[in-house]
Amino acid sequence: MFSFLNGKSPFDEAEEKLEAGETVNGRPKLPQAPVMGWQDGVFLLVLAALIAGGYYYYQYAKQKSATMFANCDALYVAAEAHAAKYVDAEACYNETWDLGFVSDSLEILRQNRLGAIEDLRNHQKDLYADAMGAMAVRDTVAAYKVVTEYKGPMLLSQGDRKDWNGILNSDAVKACVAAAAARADSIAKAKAVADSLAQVAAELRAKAVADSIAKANKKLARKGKRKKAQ
Amino acid sequence: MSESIVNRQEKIRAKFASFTDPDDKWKFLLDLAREHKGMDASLKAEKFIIQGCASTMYLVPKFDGSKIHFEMDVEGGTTNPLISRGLGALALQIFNDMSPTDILSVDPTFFQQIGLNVGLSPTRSNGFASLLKQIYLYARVFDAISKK
Repeated sequence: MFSFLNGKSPFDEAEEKLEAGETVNGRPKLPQAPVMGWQDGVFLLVLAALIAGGYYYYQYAKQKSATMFANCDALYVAAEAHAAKYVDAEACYNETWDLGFVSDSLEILRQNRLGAIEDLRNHQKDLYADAMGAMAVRDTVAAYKVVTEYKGPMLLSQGDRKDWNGILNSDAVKACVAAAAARADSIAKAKAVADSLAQVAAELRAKAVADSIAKANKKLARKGKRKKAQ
Repeated sequence: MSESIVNRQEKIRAKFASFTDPDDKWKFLLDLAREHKGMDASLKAEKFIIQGCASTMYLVPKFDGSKIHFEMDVEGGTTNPLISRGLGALALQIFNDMSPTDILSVDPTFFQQIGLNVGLSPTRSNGFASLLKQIYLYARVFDAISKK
């Protein structure tokens, strides 16, 4: 507890002065205690410094928070055009966990954006599971199709990313896919040839039928003429 | 006398109906998350983890023969999964310290009806659905035990 009277009662001084015989209009002079001692002044200065420091620190923390969040926001907005930037945006938002001040609206934004990035990650994890499942049954083409068709950001963990890139960049996988494509191509070509041969055969058959009908008709016509002449 | 589960639902329904700004719902969930007390670390066993949640959510039931008391906590590693914790806390506002029969009487679509799922990310929606599923599962098990 502190006192502006330095622990003295106002009457102490009055008594001292009364003893010294000091009077005003025949009465003891009222005590003239100091308003505050130097210790009280120091205390008030420290208090004021703390309040001012707290206020400036709050302003600083608020400003720092706004700046960092603006930076993360820019990365997130950029990521909507360039998916790879989601990784940077996520890293940026994760750095904001150390901030001393985060307003409710910024907290909501952070939670929702990190949630959205988590959704993207889960989507890629599902595709990863599909690709690995295809690889497990030696369906290299299906696995390669999954990883090449994915256009989103790389959000997999280090180990999973290695598997994913393994499928995407492996020469063996590419060779398998190329061989499968070549096989499919030659099958398609063979089918096309067979189809055209079948078409030609059908056309020839149709022509032969038409010819034989025409021949029969001519024969009948000739017979008819002969009968008329007789 | 403790509040009925229907009253609890009505209070939450009224709360959600009072939201005028889309952010109100999130603020409400953040407040619930901040007010929610975690659980003792010794209770955080693997078997109590809710499967299907992006964050690690623990749900520990205690059945006293008539009511189920739940303890819930969410861990997010370096992040602070406030929304997930808020969702868990919201579920407990209805189901905590209720009888298995009461819990099973709650329409599982209640949270959709009040609009909780609007704007909720698919991961969080799935996580919340898993939490509800687990609560109903515990209720069924304890209901069967209490009827034996």
